[in-house]
Amino acid sequence: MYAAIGTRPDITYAVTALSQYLQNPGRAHWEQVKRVIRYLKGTCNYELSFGSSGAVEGFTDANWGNDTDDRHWICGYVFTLNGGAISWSSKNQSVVALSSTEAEYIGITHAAKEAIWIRHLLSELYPHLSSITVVHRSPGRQTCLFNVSTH
Amino acid sequence: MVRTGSVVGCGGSSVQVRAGKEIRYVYVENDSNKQHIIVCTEANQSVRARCSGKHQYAHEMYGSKQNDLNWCGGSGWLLWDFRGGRNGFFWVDPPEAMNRPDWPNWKIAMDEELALMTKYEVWDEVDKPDDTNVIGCRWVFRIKHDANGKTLKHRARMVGQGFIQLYGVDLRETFAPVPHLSSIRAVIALAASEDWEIHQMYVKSAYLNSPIDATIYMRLPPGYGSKGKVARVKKGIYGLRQSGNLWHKTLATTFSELELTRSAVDHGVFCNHDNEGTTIVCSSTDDFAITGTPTSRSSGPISRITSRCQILANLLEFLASRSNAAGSQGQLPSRWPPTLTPLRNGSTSSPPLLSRLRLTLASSCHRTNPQRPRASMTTCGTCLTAKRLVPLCTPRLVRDRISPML
Repeated sequence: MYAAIGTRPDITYAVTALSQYLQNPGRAHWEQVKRVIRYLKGTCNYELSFGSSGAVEGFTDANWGNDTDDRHWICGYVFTLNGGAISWSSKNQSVVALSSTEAEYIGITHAAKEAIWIRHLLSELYPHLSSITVVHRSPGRQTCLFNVSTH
Repeated sequence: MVRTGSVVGCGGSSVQVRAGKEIRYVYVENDSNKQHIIVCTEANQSVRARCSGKHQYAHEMYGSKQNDLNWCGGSGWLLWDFRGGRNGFFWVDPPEAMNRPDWPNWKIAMDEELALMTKYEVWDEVDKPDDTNVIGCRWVFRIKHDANGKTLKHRARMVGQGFIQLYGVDLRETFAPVPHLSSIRAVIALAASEDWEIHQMYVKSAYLNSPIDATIYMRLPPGYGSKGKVARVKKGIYGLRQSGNLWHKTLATTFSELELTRSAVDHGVFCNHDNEGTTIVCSSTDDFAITGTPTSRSSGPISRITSRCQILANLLEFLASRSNAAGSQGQLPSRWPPTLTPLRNGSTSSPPLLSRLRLTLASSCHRTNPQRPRASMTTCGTCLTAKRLVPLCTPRLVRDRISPML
Protein backbone atom coordinates (compact mmCIF):
# COMPACT_ATOMS: atom_id res chain seq x y z
CA MET A 1 0.00 0.00 0.00
CA TYR A 2 2.80 2.35 0.89
CA ALA A 3 4.63 1.56 -2.32
CA ALA A 4 1.44 1.89 -4.32
CA ILE A 5 0.88 5.38 -2.98
CA GLY A 6 4.47 6.54 -3.15
CA THR A 7 6.14 5.43 -6.34
CA ARG A 8 4.44 2.36 -7.81
CA PRO A 9 1.43 3.15 -9.97
CA ASP A 10 1.75 -0.27 -11.58
CA ILE A 11 0.57 -2.19 -8.50
CA THR A 12 -2.18 0.25 -7.57
CA TYR A 13 -4.90 -1.79 -9.21
CA ALA A 14 -3.74 -5.02 -7.59
CA VAL A 15 -3.57 -3.38 -4.17
CA THR A 16 -7.05 -1.90 -4.55
CA ALA A 17 -8.52 -5.18 -5.68
CA LEU A 18 -6.87 -7.18 -2.90
CA SER A 19 -7.65 -4.64 -0.20
CA GLN A 20 -11.31 -5.48 -0.50
CA TYR A 21 -10.67 -8.85 1.08
CA LEU A 22 -8.71 -7.64 4.07
CA GLN A 23 -11.51 -8.32 6.50
CA ASN A 24 -11.61 -12.02 5.88
CA PRO A 25 -8.93 -13.11 3.44
CA GLY A 26 -8.84 -16.59 1.99
CA ARG A 27 -5.99 -18.66 0.70
CA ALA A 28 -6.49 -17.49 -2.87
CA HIS A 29 -6.12 -13.88 -1.79
CA TRP A 30 -2.94 -14.65 0.11
CA GLU A 31 -1.51 -16.33 -2.98
CA GLN A 32 -2.27 -13.20 -4.96
CA VAL A 33 -0.63 -11.01 -2.34
CA LYS A 34 2.50 -13.14 -2.55
CA ARG A 35 2.38 -12.75 -6.29
CA VAL A 36 2.32 -8.96 -5.94
CA ILE A 37 5.26 -9.11 -3.58
CA ARG A 38 7.15 -11.37 -5.99
CA TYR A 39 6.45 -8.85 -8.73
CA LEU A 40 7.74 -6.04 -6.54
CA LYS A 41 10.86 -8.02 -5.75
CA GLY A 42 11.50 -8.65 -9.41
CA THR A 43 10.97 -5.05 -10.38
CA CYS A 44 12.47 -3.29 -7.39
CA ASN A 45 15.03 -1.59 -9.60
CA TYR A 46 12.36 0.21 -11.55
CA GLU A 47 11.78 3.77 -10.58
CA LEU A 48 9.74 6.73 -11.58
CA SER A 49 11.56 8.65 -14.21
CA PHE A 50 10.88 12.14 -15.33
CA GLY A 51 11.64 13.13 -18.88
CA SER A 52 12.84 16.40 -20.23
CA SER A 53 10.02 17.41 -22.51
CA GLY A 54 6.40 16.69 -23.16
CA ALA A 55 3.12 17.69 -21.65
CA VAL A 56 0.57 16.48 -19.18
CA GLU A 57 -1.27 13.41 -20.35
CA GLY A 58 -3.86 11.37 -18.55
CA PHE A 59 -4.80 7.76 -19.17
CA THR A 60 -7.90 6.17 -17.78
CA ASP A 61 -9.76 2.88 -17.92
CA ALA A 62 -12.38 0.88 -16.08
CA ASN A 63 -12.75 -2.87 -15.55
CA TRP A 64 -16.50 -3.30 -15.70
CA GLY A 65 -17.74 -6.86 -15.32
CA ASN A 66 -14.58 -8.44 -13.97
CA ASP A 67 -15.60 -8.73 -10.37
CA THR A 68 -18.18 -11.46 -10.01
CA ASP A 69 -18.33 -11.19 -6.21
CA ASP A 70 -20.16 -7.94 -5.86
CA ARG A 71 -20.39 -6.51 -9.38
CA HIS A 72 -18.64 -3.36 -8.34
CA TRP A 73 -15.93 -2.22 -10.66
CA ILE A 74 -12.64 -0.43 -10.39
CA CYS A 75 -11.62 2.53 -12.45
CA GLY A 76 -8.24 4.14 -12.53
CA TYR A 77 -6.14 6.81 -14.09
CA VAL A 78 -2.53 7.86 -14.43
CA PHE A 79 -1.37 11.37 -15.20
CA THR A 80 2.07 11.92 -16.57
CA LEU A 81 4.06 15.11 -16.82
CA ASN A 82 6.93 15.00 -19.26
CA GLY A 83 6.64 11.24 -19.37
CA GLY A 84 6.85 10.70 -15.61
CA ALA A 85 3.81 9.64 -13.65
CA ILE A 86 2.80 12.28 -11.16
CA SER A 87 -0.67 11.28 -10.09
CA TRP A 88 -2.56 8.04 -10.15
CA SER A 89 -5.53 6.40 -8.61
CA SER A 90 -7.42 3.16 -8.64
CA LYS A 91 -10.79 3.29 -7.04
CA ASN A 92 -13.51 0.80 -6.34
CA GLN A 93 -16.68 2.53 -7.44
CA SER A 94 -19.69 2.40 -5.18
CA VAL A 95 -22.24 2.40 -7.96
CA VAL A 96 -23.03 -0.67 -10.01
CA ALA A 97 -22.79 0.25 -13.65
CA LEU A 98 -25.23 -1.36 -16.02
CA SER A 99 -22.99 -1.18 -19.03
CA SER A 100 -19.32 -0.84 -19.73
CA THR A 101 -19.99 2.52 -21.34
CA GLU A 102 -21.55 3.80 -18.14
CA ALA A 103 -18.61 2.48 -16.14
CA GLU A 104 -16.16 4.14 -18.45
CA TYR A 105 -17.98 7.44 -18.35
CA ILE A 106 -17.84 7.44 -14.57
CA GLY A 107 -14.18 6.52 -14.79
CA ILE A 108 -13.52 9.44 -17.12
CA THR A 109 -15.30 11.77 -14.71
CA HIS A 110 -13.03 10.49 -11.95
CA ALA A 111 -9.99 11.29 -14.06
CA ALA A 112 -11.32 14.63 -15.26
CA LYS A 113 -11.74 15.86 -11.69
CA GLU A 114 -8.10 15.12 -11.06
CA ALA A 115 -7.12 16.70 -14.36
CA ILE A 116 -8.80 19.94 -13.37
CA TRP A 117 -6.92 19.96 -10.08
CA ILE A 118 -3.61 19.29 -11.78
CA ARG A 119 -4.28 22.04 -14.30
CA HIS A 120 -4.92 24.50 -11.47
CA LEU A 121 -1.76 23.46 -9.69
CA LEU A 122 0.45 23.61 -12.73
CA SER A 123 -0.98 26.91 -13.88
CA GLU A 124 0.36 28.32 -10.64
CA LEU A 125 3.67 26.53 -10.69
CA TYR A 126 4.38 26.84 -14.35
CA PRO A 127 2.29 29.31 -16.33
CA HIS A 128 3.59 28.16 -19.72
CA LEU A 129 1.68 24.90 -19.49
CA SER A 130 -0.51 23.91 -22.41
CA SER A 131 -3.72 21.97 -22.02
CA ILE A 132 -4.08 18.54 -20.48
CA THR A 133 -5.05 15.62 -22.67
CA VAL A 134 -6.98 12.74 -21.21
CA VAL A 135 -6.88 9.54 -23.22
CA HIS A 136 -9.32 6.76 -22.70
CA ARG A 137 -9.13 3.48 -24.53
CA SER A 138 -11.20 0.39 -24.43
CA PRO A 139 -10.79 -2.63 -26.70
CA GLY A 140 -13.18 -2.76 -29.61
CA ARG A 141 -14.50 0.64 -28.86
CA GLN A 142 -13.89 3.99 -30.34
CA THR A 143 -11.02 5.86 -28.73
CA CYS A 144 -12.36 8.73 -26.79
CA LEU A 145 -10.33 11.86 -26.37
CA PHE A 146 -11.13 15.09 -24.72
CA ASN A 147 -9.41 18.20 -23.65
CA VAL A 148 -9.65 19.63 -20.17
CA SER A 149 -8.54 23.12 -21.03
CA THR A 150 -12.10 24.09 -21.89
CA HIS A 151 -13.55 23.02 -18.54
CA MET B 1 -24.38 19.54 43.71
CA VAL B 2 -20.70 20.40 43.49
CA ARG B 3 -19.84 23.45 41.44
CA THR B 4 -16.68 24.48 39.65
CA GLY B 5 -13.98 25.33 42.11
CA SER B 6 -15.34 23.30 44.98
CA VAL B 7 -12.94 21.26 46.98
CA VAL B 8 -13.87 17.80 48.04
CA GLY B 9 -11.77 16.34 50.80
CA CYS B 10 -10.82 12.73 51.00
CA GLY B 11 -8.46 11.24 53.54
CA GLY B 12 -5.68 13.85 53.61
CA SER B 13 -6.10 14.80 49.98
CA SER B 14 -8.43 17.05 48.16
CA VAL B 15 -10.06 16.95 44.80
CA GLN B 16 -10.69 20.26 43.20
CA VAL B 17 -12.93 20.82 40.24
CA ARG B 18 -11.72 23.65 38.06
CA ALA B 19 -12.62 25.65 35.01
CA GLY B 20 -15.03 23.17 33.67
CA LYS B 21 -18.55 22.03 33.74
CA GLU B 22 -20.50 21.44 36.85
CA ILE B 23 -20.24 18.17 38.62
CA ARG B 24 -23.24 16.20 39.72
CA TYR B 25 -22.08 13.76 42.32
CA VAL B 26 -18.98 13.17 44.30
CA TYR B 27 -18.88 10.38 46.74
CA VAL B 28 -16.30 8.26 48.45
CA GLU B 29 -16.39 4.54 48.36
CA ASN B 30 -14.32 2.18 50.45
CA ASP B 31 -13.38 -1.32 49.54
CA SER B 32 -11.00 -3.58 51.43
CA ASN B 33 -7.89 -1.38 51.46
CA LYS B 34 -8.43 1.38 48.96
CA GLN B 35 -10.63 4.35 48.69
CA HIS B 36 -12.33 5.34 45.49
CA ILE B 37 -13.54 8.78 44.75
CA ILE B 38 -16.22 8.65 42.15
CA VAL B 39 -17.15 11.82 40.37
CA CYS B 40 -20.03 11.97 37.96
CA THR B 41 -20.07 14.72 35.40
CA GLU B 42 -22.98 16.16 33.49
CA ALA B 43 -23.24 13.44 30.96
CA ASN B 44 -23.51 11.00 33.80
CA GLN B 45 -20.11 9.56 33.05
CA SER B 46 -18.04 8.82 36.06
CA VAL B 47 -14.42 9.62 36.69
CA ARG B 48 -12.75 7.49 39.25
CA ALA B 49 -9.57 7.89 41.17
CA ARG B 50 -8.07 5.50 43.62
CA CYS B 51 -6.30 6.41 46.78
CA SER B 52 -4.20 4.31 49.07
CA GLY B 53 -0.72 4.81 50.53
CA LYS B 54 0.84 8.19 50.19
CA HIS B 55 3.41 7.66 47.44
CA GLN B 56 1.69 5.01 45.50
CA TYR B 57 -1.10 7.43 45.46
CA ALA B 58 0.47 9.80 42.97
CA HIS B 59 1.18 7.04 40.50
CA GLU B 60 -2.26 5.65 40.63
CA MET B 61 -3.84 9.01 40.39
CA TYR B 62 -1.83 9.80 37.32
CA GLY B 63 -2.51 6.50 35.66
CA SER B 64 -6.17 6.64 36.23
CA LYS B 65 -6.38 10.25 35.18
CA GLN B 66 -5.14 9.54 31.71
CA ASN B 67 -7.76 6.92 31.10
CA ASP B 68 -10.47 8.84 32.74
CA LEU B 69 -9.94 11.94 30.70
CA ASN B 70 -10.90 10.05 27.60
CA TRP B 71 -13.74 8.48 29.39
CA CYS B 72 -14.87 11.87 30.52
CA GLY B 73 -15.13 12.83 26.86
CA GLY B 74 -15.20 16.59 27.19
CA SER B 75 -18.31 16.75 29.30
CA GLY B 76 -16.31 17.73 32.35
CA TRP B 77 -12.90 18.89 33.32
CA LEU B 78 -11.09 17.76 36.39
CA LEU B 79 -7.82 18.75 37.86
CA TRP B 80 -6.68 16.65 40.73
CA ASP B 81 -4.78 18.59 43.28
CA PHE B 82 -3.23 17.15 46.42
CA ARG B 83 -2.58 19.00 49.56
CA GLY B 84 1.12 18.53 50.24
CA GLY B 85 1.63 16.60 47.02
CA ARG B 86 4.43 17.49 44.70
CA ASN B 87 3.32 19.12 41.46
CA GLY B 88 -0.16 17.74 41.81
CA PHE B 89 -0.43 14.22 40.53
CA PHE B 90 2.74 14.39 38.53
CA TRP B 91 5.21 12.08 40.10
CA VAL B 92 8.73 11.53 38.90
CA ASP B 93 11.13 9.03 40.25
CA PRO B 94 14.52 10.61 39.62
CA PRO B 95 16.80 8.03 41.27
CA GLU B 96 15.80 5.34 38.81
CA ALA B 97 16.67 7.44 35.79
CA MET B 98 19.80 8.87 37.32
CA ASN B 99 21.22 5.45 38.07
CA ARG B 100 21.31 4.51 34.42
CA PRO B 101 24.80 4.22 32.91
CA ASP B 102 23.89 6.56 30.05
CA TRP B 103 22.48 9.21 32.35
CA PRO B 104 25.18 11.84 31.52
CA ASN B 105 24.18 11.72 27.84
CA TRP B 106 20.57 12.31 28.72
CA LYS B 107 21.53 15.07 31.07
CA ILE B 108 23.38 16.84 28.26
CA ALA B 109 20.42 16.38 25.95
CA MET B 110 18.05 17.81 28.54
CA ASP B 111 20.32 20.78 29.15
CA GLU B 112 20.48 21.41 25.41
CA GLU B 113 16.73 21.37 25.15
CA LEU B 114 16.29 23.69 28.09
CA ALA B 115 18.89 26.02 26.60
CA LEU B 116 16.82 26.07 23.40
CA MET B 117 13.74 26.92 25.46
CA THR B 118 15.60 29.86 26.96
CA LYS B 119 16.97 30.94 23.62
CA TYR B 120 13.59 31.02 21.93
CA GLU B 121 11.94 32.50 25.05
CA VAL B 122 9.41 29.76 25.06
CA TRP B 123 7.79 30.55 28.38
CA ASP B 124 7.49 33.04 31.22
CA GLU B 125 7.52 31.84 34.78
CA VAL B 126 4.37 33.10 36.47
CA ASP B 127 2.40 32.35 39.59
CA LYS B 128 -0.03 29.54 39.29
CA PRO B 129 -3.34 31.10 38.28
CA ASP B 130 -6.65 29.96 39.70
CA ASP B 131 -9.39 28.50 37.59
CA THR B 132 -7.20 27.79 34.61
CA ASN B 133 -6.24 24.55 33.01
CA VAL B 134 -2.60 23.81 33.59
CA ILE B 135 -1.31 21.24 31.19
CA GLY B 136 1.40 18.84 32.11
CA CYS B 137 4.76 18.49 30.51
CA ARG B 138 6.84 15.49 29.71
CA TRP B 139 10.30 14.65 28.58
CA VAL B 140 10.39 12.51 25.49
CA PHE B 141 13.69 10.73 25.18
CA ARG B 142 14.90 9.25 21.97
CA ILE B 143 18.15 7.85 20.72
CA LYS B 144 18.89 8.79 17.15
CA HIS B 145 20.68 6.19 15.07
CA ASP B 146 22.47 6.48 11.80
CA ALA B 147 21.99 3.99 8.97
CA ASN B 148 24.41 1.52 10.53
CA GLY B 149 22.54 1.45 13.78
CA LYS B 150 25.24 3.41 15.54
CA THR B 151 24.05 5.87 18.13
CA LEU B 152 24.12 9.32 16.63
CA LYS B 153 22.84 11.39 19.49
CA HIS B 154 20.61 11.42 22.48
CA ARG B 155 17.66 13.68 22.03
CA ALA B 156 15.46 14.96 24.80
CA ARG B 157 12.38 16.86 23.78
CA MET B 158 10.19 18.79 26.15
CA VAL B 159 6.57 18.35 25.17
CA GLY B 160 3.31 19.65 26.51
CA GLN B 161 0.52 17.23 27.23
CA GLY B 162 -1.77 18.41 24.49
CA PHE B 163 -4.38 15.80 25.30
CA ILE B 164 -5.35 17.85 28.35
CA GLN B 165 -6.21 20.87 26.22
CA LEU B 166 -9.84 21.57 25.68
CA TYR B 167 -11.22 22.54 22.32
CA GLY B 168 -12.70 26.02 22.43
CA VAL B 169 -10.77 27.01 25.57
CA ASP B 170 -7.14 26.29 24.82
CA LEU B 171 -7.25 25.85 21.10
CA ARG B 172 -9.35 26.26 18.01
CA GLU B 173 -7.58 25.56 14.74
CA THR B 174 -5.33 22.54 14.39
CA PHE B 175 -5.12 22.27 10.62
CA ALA B 176 -1.59 22.05 9.30
CA PRO B 177 -1.28 21.32 5.60
CA VAL B 178 1.42 19.28 3.93
CA PRO B 179 1.85 19.13 0.17
CA HIS B 180 -0.05 16.52 -1.76
CA LEU B 181 2.11 13.74 -3.13
CA SER B 182 1.01 14.57 -6.65
CA SER B 183 2.24 18.14 -6.15
CA ILE B 184 5.63 16.91 -5.01
CA ARG B 185 5.93 14.64 -8.00
CA ALA B 186 4.78 17.44 -10.30
CA VAL B 187 7.42 19.75 -8.89
CA ILE B 188 10.08 17.09 -9.31
CA ALA B 189 8.95 16.48 -12.88
CA LEU B 190 9.13 20.19 -13.61
CA ALA B 191 12.57 20.45 -12.05
CA ALA B 192 13.73 17.50 -14.12
CA SER B 193 12.46 18.98 -17.36
CA GLU B 194 13.91 22.41 -16.68
CA ASP B 195 17.18 21.14 -15.25
CA TRP B 196 16.71 22.87 -11.94
CA GLU B 197 18.39 21.74 -8.81
CA ILE B 198 16.33 20.63 -5.87
CA HIS B 199 17.51 21.56 -2.42
CA GLN B 200 16.25 20.05 0.72
CA MET B 201 16.23 21.92 3.98
CA TYR B 202 15.27 21.20 7.50
CA VAL B 203 14.45 23.73 10.19
CA LYS B 204 15.70 22.69 13.58
CA SER B 205 13.19 23.01 16.41
CA ALA B 206 10.78 24.62 14.00
CA TYR B 207 7.78 24.80 16.29
CA LEU B 208 9.63 26.88 18.84
CA ASN B 209 9.70 29.74 16.34
CA SER B 210 5.97 30.22 16.13
CA PRO B 211 4.24 32.52 18.63
CA ILE B 212 1.11 31.20 20.25
CA ASP B 213 -2.23 32.99 20.13
CA ALA B 214 -3.85 31.49 23.23
CA THR B 215 -3.05 31.69 26.93
CA ILE B 216 -1.72 28.33 27.94
CA TYR B 217 -0.19 27.40 31.26
CA MET B 218 2.09 24.45 31.59
CA ARG B 219 3.75 22.93 34.61
CA LEU B 220 7.45 23.52 34.65
CA PRO B 221 9.66 20.52 34.04
CA PRO B 222 10.54 18.65 37.23
CA GLY B 223 13.45 20.19 39.04
CA TYR B 224 13.20 23.39 37.08
CA GLY B 225 11.98 26.76 38.33
CA SER B 226 10.69 27.67 41.72
CA LYS B 227 7.85 26.16 43.65
CA GLY B 228 4.34 27.39 42.98
CA LYS B 229 5.29 28.75 39.57
CA VAL B 230 4.00 27.57 36.25
CA ALA B 231 5.06 28.36 32.71
CA ARG B 232 2.99 30.68 30.59
CA VAL B 233 3.69 29.30 27.15
CA LYS B 234 4.59 31.86 24.49
CA LYS B 235 5.59 29.59 21.62
CA GLY B 236 3.98 26.59 20.05
CA ILE B 237 5.91 23.95 21.92
CA TYR B 238 5.88 20.38 20.74
CA GLY B 239 2.96 18.36 21.93
CA LEU B 240 0.36 21.10 21.90
CA ARG B 241 -2.46 20.43 19.55
CA GLN B 242 -2.27 23.70 17.69
CA SER B 243 1.50 23.78 17.24
CA GLY B 244 1.44 22.48 13.68
CA ASN B 245 -1.11 25.08 12.72
CA LEU B 246 0.88 27.86 14.36
CA TRP B 247 4.03 26.80 12.60
CA HIS B 248 2.29 26.81 9.26
CA LYS B 249 0.97 30.31 9.91
CA THR B 250 4.45 31.52 10.80
CA LEU B 251 5.84 29.85 7.74
CA ALA B 252 3.20 31.33 5.45
CA THR B 253 3.84 34.82 6.83
CA THR B 254 7.57 34.45 6.38
CA PHE B 255 7.17 33.17 2.87
CA SER B 256 4.82 35.99 1.95
CA GLU B 257 7.46 38.44 3.17
CA LEU B 258 9.82 36.63 0.84
CA GLU B 259 7.29 37.14 -1.97
CA LEU B 260 6.38 33.49 -2.19
CA THR B 261 2.67 32.94 -2.77
CA ARG B 262 0.86 30.01 -1.30
CA SER B 263 -0.77 27.86 -3.92
CA ALA B 264 -4.56 28.03 -3.88
CA VAL B 265 -5.02 24.35 -4.65
CA ASP B 266 -2.28 22.98 -2.42
CA HIS B 267 -1.41 24.94 0.69
CA GLY B 268 1.86 23.12 1.18
CA VAL B 269 3.29 24.56 -2.02
CA PHE B 270 4.64 28.08 -2.36
CA CYS B 271 5.81 29.66 -5.57
CA ASN B 272 7.01 32.88 -7.06
CA HIS B 273 7.32 34.09 -10.63
CA ASP B 274 9.14 37.31 -11.35
CA ASN B 275 11.85 38.69 -13.58
CA GLU B 276 14.45 36.72 -11.72
CA GLY B 277 12.77 33.47 -12.62
CA THR B 278 10.68 30.85 -10.89
CA THR B 279 10.95 29.54 -7.37
CA ILE B 280 8.92 26.68 -5.96
CA VAL B 281 8.98 25.49 -2.37
CA CYS B 282 7.24 22.38 -1.07
CA SER B 283 7.02 22.59 2.68
CA SER B 284 6.21 19.51 4.67
CA THR B 285 6.12 20.87 8.23
CA ASP B 286 9.78 21.70 8.87
CA ASP B 287 11.22 20.09 5.76
CA PHE B 288 11.45 22.02 2.55
CA ALA B 289 12.21 20.99 -0.98
CA ILE B 290 13.24 24.10 -2.85
CA THR B 291 13.70 24.37 -6.56
CA GLY B 292 13.78 27.09 -9.15
CA THR B 293 15.66 28.74 -11.93
CA PRO B 294 19.38 29.29 -11.34
CA THR B 295 18.92 33.09 -11.30
CA SER B 296 16.49 32.68 -8.46
CA ARG B 297 19.25 31.03 -6.50
CA SER B 298 21.74 33.80 -6.93
CA SER B 299 19.53 36.85 -6.51
CA GLY B 300 15.90 35.76 -6.17
CA PRO B 301 13.77 34.21 -3.46
CA ILE B 302 15.95 31.17 -2.88
CA SER B 303 18.83 33.40 -1.91
CA ARG B 304 16.50 35.32 0.38
CA ILE B 305 15.33 32.11 2.03
CA THR B 306 18.86 31.00 2.60
CA SER B 307 19.92 34.36 3.97
CA ARG B 308 16.85 34.48 6.18
CA CYS B 309 17.74 31.10 7.51
CA GLN B 310 21.24 32.38 8.10
CA ILE B 311 22.81 29.72 6.01
CA LEU B 312 25.62 30.52 3.67
CA ALA B 313 24.71 30.22 0.05
CA ASN B 314 28.21 28.95 -0.47
CA LEU B 315 27.44 25.99 1.66
CA LEU B 316 24.59 25.04 -0.62
CA GLU B 317 26.82 25.47 -3.62
CA PHE B 318 29.47 23.36 -2.04
CA LEU B 319 27.14 20.53 -1.15
CA ALA B 320 25.53 20.63 -4.57
CA SER B 321 28.81 20.38 -6.38
CA ARG B 322 29.98 17.63 -4.13
CA SER B 323 26.97 15.39 -4.62
CA ASN B 324 26.96 16.09 -8.35
CA ALA B 325 30.58 15.23 -8.74
CA ALA B 326 30.20 12.07 -6.76
CA GLY B 327 27.12 11.10 -8.71
CA SER B 328 28.70 11.50 -12.11
CA GLN B 329 31.62 9.32 -11.15
CA GLY B 330 29.24 6.64 -10.00
CA GLN B 331 30.47 6.82 -6.44
CA LEU B 332 28.51 7.39 -3.36
CA PRO B 333 29.14 10.62 -1.56
CA SER B 334 30.82 10.01 1.71
CA ARG B 335 27.84 11.11 3.73
CA TRP B 336 25.81 8.18 2.52
CA PRO B 337 26.42 4.97 4.36
CA PRO B 338 28.59 2.27 2.83
CA THR B 339 26.31 -0.55 3.97
CA LEU B 340 23.89 0.30 1.23
CA THR B 341 26.26 -0.24 -1.64
CA PRO B 342 25.30 -3.91 -2.18
CA LEU B 343 21.81 -2.76 -3.05
CA ARG B 344 23.19 -0.59 -5.76
CA ASN B 345 25.58 -3.21 -7.06
CA GLY B 346 22.76 -5.71 -7.24
CA SER B 347 21.18 -3.81 -10.08
CA THR B 348 23.57 -4.75 -12.83
CA SER B 349 21.37 -4.00 -15.80
CA SER B 350 20.07 -0.54 -16.29
CA PRO B 351 16.37 -0.33 -15.49
CA PRO B 352 14.40 0.05 -18.72
CA LEU B 353 12.43 3.00 -17.41
CA LEU B 354 15.62 4.94 -17.14
CA SER B 355 16.20 5.02 -20.87
CA ARG B 356 14.47 8.36 -21.30
CA LEU B 357 15.88 9.81 -18.18
CA ARG B 358 18.36 12.56 -18.62
CA LEU B 359 19.22 12.34 -14.98
CA THR B 360 20.74 8.89 -14.93
CA LEU B 361 24.05 10.28 -13.80
CA ALA B 362 22.79 10.75 -10.34
CA SER B 363 20.78 7.57 -10.25
CA SER B 364 23.43 5.73 -8.33
CA CYS B 365 23.02 8.32 -5.63
CA HIS B 366 19.34 8.42 -5.33
CA ARG B 367 18.86 4.69 -5.53
CA THR B 368 20.32 4.36 -2.12
CA ASN B 369 18.18 7.00 -0.60
CA PRO B 370 14.88 5.18 -0.14
CA GLN B 371 16.66 2.61 1.96
CA ARG B 372 18.31 5.17 4.11
CA PRO B 373 16.62 5.61 7.44
CA ARG B 374 16.64 9.16 8.62
CA ALA B 375 15.73 10.49 11.95
CA SER B 376 13.41 13.16 10.70
CA MET B 377 11.28 10.65 8.85
CA THR B 378 9.64 9.20 11.86
CA THR B 379 7.94 12.32 13.09
CA CYS B 380 4.51 11.55 11.77
CA GLY B 381 2.88 9.35 9.23
CA THR B 382 1.71 12.08 6.94
CA CYS B 383 5.04 13.75 6.66
CA LEU B 384 6.79 10.48 6.29
CA THR B 385 5.50 9.72 2.85
CA ALA B 386 6.28 13.15 1.55
CA LYS B 387 9.70 13.22 3.08
CA ARG B 388 10.69 9.89 1.70
CA LEU B 389 9.47 10.68 -1.72
CA VAL B 390 11.56 13.73 -2.28
CA PRO B 391 14.92 12.01 -1.95
CA LEU B 392 13.53 9.02 -3.83
CA CYS B 393 13.17 10.94 -7.04
CA THR B 394 15.46 13.85 -6.55
CA PRO B 395 18.13 13.92 -9.18
CA ARG B 396 20.58 16.06 -7.33
CA LEU B 397 19.96 16.06 -3.72
CA VAL B 398 21.29 18.57 -1.31
CA ARG B 399 20.18 17.94 2.16
CA ASP B 400 21.30 20.35 4.74
CA ARG B 401 20.45 21.19 8.25
CA ILE B 402 19.90 24.77 9.16
CA SER B 403 20.04 25.62 12.78
CA PRO B 404 18.64 29.09 13.36
CA MET B 405 15.62 30.17 11.42
CA LEU B 406 13.28 33.12 11.16
